[in-house]
Amino acid sequence: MPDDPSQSQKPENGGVAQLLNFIVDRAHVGIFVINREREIVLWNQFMEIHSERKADTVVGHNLFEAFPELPQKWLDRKIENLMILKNFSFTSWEQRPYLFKFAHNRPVTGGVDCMRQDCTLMPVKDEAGEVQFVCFTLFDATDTSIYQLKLEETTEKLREMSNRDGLTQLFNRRYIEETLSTEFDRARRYGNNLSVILTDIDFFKLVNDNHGHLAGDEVLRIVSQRLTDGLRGTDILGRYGGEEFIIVLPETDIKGAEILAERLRIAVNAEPIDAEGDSLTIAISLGVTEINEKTQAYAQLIAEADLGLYKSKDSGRNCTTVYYPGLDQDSD
Amino acid sequence: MAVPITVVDDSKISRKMVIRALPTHWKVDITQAEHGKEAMTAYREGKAEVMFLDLTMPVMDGYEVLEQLQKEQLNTFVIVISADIQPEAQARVKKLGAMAFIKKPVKTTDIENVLREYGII
Amino acid sequence: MTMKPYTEDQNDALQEVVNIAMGQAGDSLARILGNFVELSVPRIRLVTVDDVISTVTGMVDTNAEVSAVRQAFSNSLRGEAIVIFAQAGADDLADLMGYDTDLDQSAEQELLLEVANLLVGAIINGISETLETDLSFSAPSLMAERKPLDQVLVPEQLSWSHALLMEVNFTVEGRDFKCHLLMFMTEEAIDTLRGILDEFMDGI
Repeated sequence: MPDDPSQSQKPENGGVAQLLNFIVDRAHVGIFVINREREIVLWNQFMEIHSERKADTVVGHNLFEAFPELPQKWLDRKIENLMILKNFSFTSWEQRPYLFKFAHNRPVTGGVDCMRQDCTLMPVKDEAGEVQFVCFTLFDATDTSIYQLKLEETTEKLREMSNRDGLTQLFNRRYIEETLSTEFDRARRYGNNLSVILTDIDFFKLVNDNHGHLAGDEVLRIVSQRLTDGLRGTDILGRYGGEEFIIVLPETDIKGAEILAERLRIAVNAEPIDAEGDSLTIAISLGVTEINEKTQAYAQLIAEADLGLYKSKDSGRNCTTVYYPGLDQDSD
Repeated sequence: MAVPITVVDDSKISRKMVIRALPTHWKVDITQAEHGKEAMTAYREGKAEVMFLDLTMPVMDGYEVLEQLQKEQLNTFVIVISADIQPEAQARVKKLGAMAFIKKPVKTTDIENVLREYGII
Repeated sequence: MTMKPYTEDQNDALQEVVNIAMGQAGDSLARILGNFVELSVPRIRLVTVDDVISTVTGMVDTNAEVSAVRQAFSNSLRGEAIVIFAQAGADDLADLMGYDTDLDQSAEQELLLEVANLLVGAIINGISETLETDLSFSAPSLMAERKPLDQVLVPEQLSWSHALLMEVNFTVEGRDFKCHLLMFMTEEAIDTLRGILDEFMDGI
């Protein structure tokens, strides 16, 4: 290095070219150039290392012949468009994970199968403005992609958690109402059936009072489990309130809903529940209703099922009542 | 003798750009029009032997001017000057009787080439 | 909107420059689609952060879902361009561009990014060439996919008070394809552009 830096900071013209050559070759970015015939004319060190192909073995060769694994049809079209439009063009790992299948530099910490790449295609024009070369720059986006992946997983987990009730792991009231609202609109639009079951654990307050809250929690968990086990794939179960549960039954008529309700009632009651050392026989009461042309809104379904449930409680509990218009007057 | 020409464009700057791009040695008498109606008036007053015509304008657009000229079998040398440079847009105006099409922003060489081609200069 | 950032002459010049740039974008699109593209007359508005959503929904005017791509531009003028595709048009794109129509989601996204980049690139180049100013643009990224229009822009995320909005839309005759290109420049760029427009007018 010359002694006086102030005199030597500006390289001569030849020096600049040398400097640029050095930078292009050694930058931690893939840089390569092809001509109009798709022949490789420049291949930098990053490309050499990751492709495990020395520049002198690829320069002068057709890009697609040298790398038959490239998505030729798509990339060739992109290059052709670039020649016509003379514009920068881009590819992103988010849509196309990679152009070249390179190993990434996380052999230990891992996360993805190979190097994720963002690419820029730059037209290099001659004096007449025609594109003579296309310069590719290839950025390693592996780290970004892994962070993104983790972020998505976390977001998904959070979303899932925000829809769940902590104790029973069933869907919470907010989520189940959203779901019911969506299913209600769908049923309306396509003229499908839709039924709702509302159910409540009988004498739950006594469980809490006589056996403690821990036993109460255990009963809630076991009942949730027995309800879940009794459902079909499309049924959606949620915890509606304290000891109250709601089941949304898409494409199910009242007959099917009543059969399911009875099955659930019997399943919950079949065996005693072991709660904090106490063996408790638990029963549930249920109310059932279905959509019809007079149903105004999804909330009406909940209200009707609730009337059915009330009637079941009134009729001695551990039973199912199907809602019908006028039920509320009859129950007086 | 100076050739009477009319430059039709609703944009002042655009008319200015056309006028600036006219070949310097071409002797012209310039009239400016903000839309088709003014252009037709200028034509009837004998002020538009050559017309530089924009397409998108309020009141009466360039297509309407071309149609009107065609309908009345009027004789003026129309050069369409447009930002819509698609080949099909060019074909459309030529079908309507425009002699030439020049893309915006206008360059002196483009105007010169057209005028030369038709022996106007 | 009573505030006027530009004089009549500056507005006239801006409108003309945008017309030229949008025309070039339309030409690029037509070449790629192999179809004649109809261009709307570009609309230029000054919007506030409070009325930007209503202005955009008024311009784009659709109840259908949309997908949107954004790109930044920088150098002498800084701003962002957003291309909004009506969903039916986005679905039509593969067919127009001669691809198999049952593309997977990534391939579909890639098409949207490609078309947005083409439009934004052509407009940025058109503006920079006409105004003789240096502009460059970033890689495109997807900002919304199959969403209602009013969810594309989130007011809470907008940290400016005024922005210059330029809009043009592109349609293909007899096809579902339609997209809107919106270019936003915020306060600082509005001022910079004033100087650039003056220089441009002085040069004519």
